[in-house]
Amino acid sequence: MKQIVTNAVVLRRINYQEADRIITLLTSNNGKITAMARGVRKANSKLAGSIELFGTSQVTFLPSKGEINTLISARLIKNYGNIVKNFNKTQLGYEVLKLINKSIESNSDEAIYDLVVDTLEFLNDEAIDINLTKFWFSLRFLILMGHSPNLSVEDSDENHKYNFSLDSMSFVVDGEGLYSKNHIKLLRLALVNNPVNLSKINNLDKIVEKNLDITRLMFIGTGFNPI
Amino acid sequence: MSNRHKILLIEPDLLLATIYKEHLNAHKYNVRVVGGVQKAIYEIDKLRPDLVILELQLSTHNGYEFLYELRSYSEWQNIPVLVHSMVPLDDLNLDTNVSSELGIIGYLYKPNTSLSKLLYEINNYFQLALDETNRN
Amino acid sequence: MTSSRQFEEDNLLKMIIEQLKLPLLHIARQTALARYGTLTNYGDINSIAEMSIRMIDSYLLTKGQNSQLGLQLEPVSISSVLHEAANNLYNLAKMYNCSIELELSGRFAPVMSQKSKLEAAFTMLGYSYIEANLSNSLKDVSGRIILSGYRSSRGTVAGIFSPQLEISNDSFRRSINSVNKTRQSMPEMTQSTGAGIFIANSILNGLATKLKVAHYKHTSGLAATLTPSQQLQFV
Repeated sequence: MKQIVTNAVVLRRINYQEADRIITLLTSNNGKITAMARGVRKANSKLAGSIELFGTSQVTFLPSKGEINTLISARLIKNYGNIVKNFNKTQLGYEVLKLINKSIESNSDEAIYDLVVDTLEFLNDEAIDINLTKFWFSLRFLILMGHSPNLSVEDSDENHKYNFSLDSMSFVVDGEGLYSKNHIKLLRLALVNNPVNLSKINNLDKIVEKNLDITRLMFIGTGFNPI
Repeated sequence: MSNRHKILLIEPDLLLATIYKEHLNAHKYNVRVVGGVQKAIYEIDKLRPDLVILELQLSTHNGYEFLYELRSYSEWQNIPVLVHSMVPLDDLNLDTNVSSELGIIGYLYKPNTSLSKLLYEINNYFQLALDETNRN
Repeated sequence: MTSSRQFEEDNLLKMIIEQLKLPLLHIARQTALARYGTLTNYGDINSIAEMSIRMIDSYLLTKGQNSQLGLQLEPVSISSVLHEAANNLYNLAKMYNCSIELELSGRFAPVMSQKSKLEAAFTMLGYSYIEANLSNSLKDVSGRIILSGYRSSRGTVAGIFSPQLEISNDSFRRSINSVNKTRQSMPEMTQSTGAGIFIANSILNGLATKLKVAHYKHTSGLAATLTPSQQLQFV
């Protein structure tokens, strides 16, 4: 059978027998696959560099008739080494990979792969606030999973307060509301901008925490756990 | 109570490692010390510790990476880990779910944990584990 | 002072405060162990305390507040600076199973600088290297810290090198430009904040130079280039 070469991100790895690893990969062209990496856990290579988490690799694998393919080789393309310098980013990185692994079936499309790689890239960027990356990933993930919020609001009064309705997945005017127009604006901007651009917004740190709350609310009823 | 339980201490600072090892050995624990993640993985294989005491702030790989690597081995799911770290709890995203998944039995902030408090927590853990075994 | 400079200075101070927790912890736990009747090496406690005081004084030099040390430029011998730094580091290095080596290639013309600041910078840099060797010393491998001076086309290079510790230029530049953005600015090198390196760099910036990754006899390290005084060469 023909070998397949593709770019991939490691979602999970399980150590198997004496020297092998079973690796779950999210690939750019072939969805989510599981592959056996044989002999990678020899005495001096228990943390084999090219299949570490928080990196993108070019992998070559032999497809099998069953569930587990065979990994022939892996070459590291980019290692996001800054993530592990920060405990919260390390933890968030693992949570992102775990969520993707749980949520995605084998035939995911390239958009999911791009989202994961972009998220790792932004987490790796020391200039970008972790909460912003978390918020941006959460929103983009929900949309890719088919849970888009309705961000249009009827009135134009800048001072109105809003609450988020789970039933209609939209914002409703509420005098006691927790959110302002600025929170809704940030959601709209995050649909079309990445965290690098979003970072330029003034007083961003004052609104991003509440925007994170909004995305956590959006997760309710989706069957996924928020990160 | 102590009965020579085996403890793997992951501590990158030589001086602190010597102090903790001396103190715990004097109270009848068998302590092995390693400075980093790679060595820790090898030692767990050899030592099969009853408890791991982990500093999260390590060089090269951090303590979280160690925990995820540890739990990727099916035979090491039940090794308890006590976090004893220079990193304040507020700086960590250690909610109950994450702690439970990673098998973290407790968190101690090093600057606020005296030698006697560390010993107390370890003794307490092993006593509770013994009580649980006797009940079953 | 511009707000970004103030922000950097505040970050450096926070980094140092965090760094100082470790030696204070050493002292607290060592003395606690003594209460259990274990023989404690009071010389070690003394060395740790002295280095902590040096760190505070070195930080104050970055702010030019310590007027007793003077702020005038003077002819400075790089050899004597590195000798002094090596002396300051010797006891601590021994505690942490490291050897301090001095390698001076040839003779150097004096530089117009401030001796006390240069000594402080290289002592702080050496302290970070000793600390970084702690995790290595647990492998029963003795760490080597080499204080070296040699001539280059651009001037006299003075720095600290270690075969056990490597950092790439890219990684170092990114770390040095992001003071205190994470708890561990240089995890490739050290598990601590690495405050000593940042203090050294800050002092050297004030002397119109800076730390860079350098290579000496197949080892890499951190060093600064100092320009010999043209006038003094003719004296």
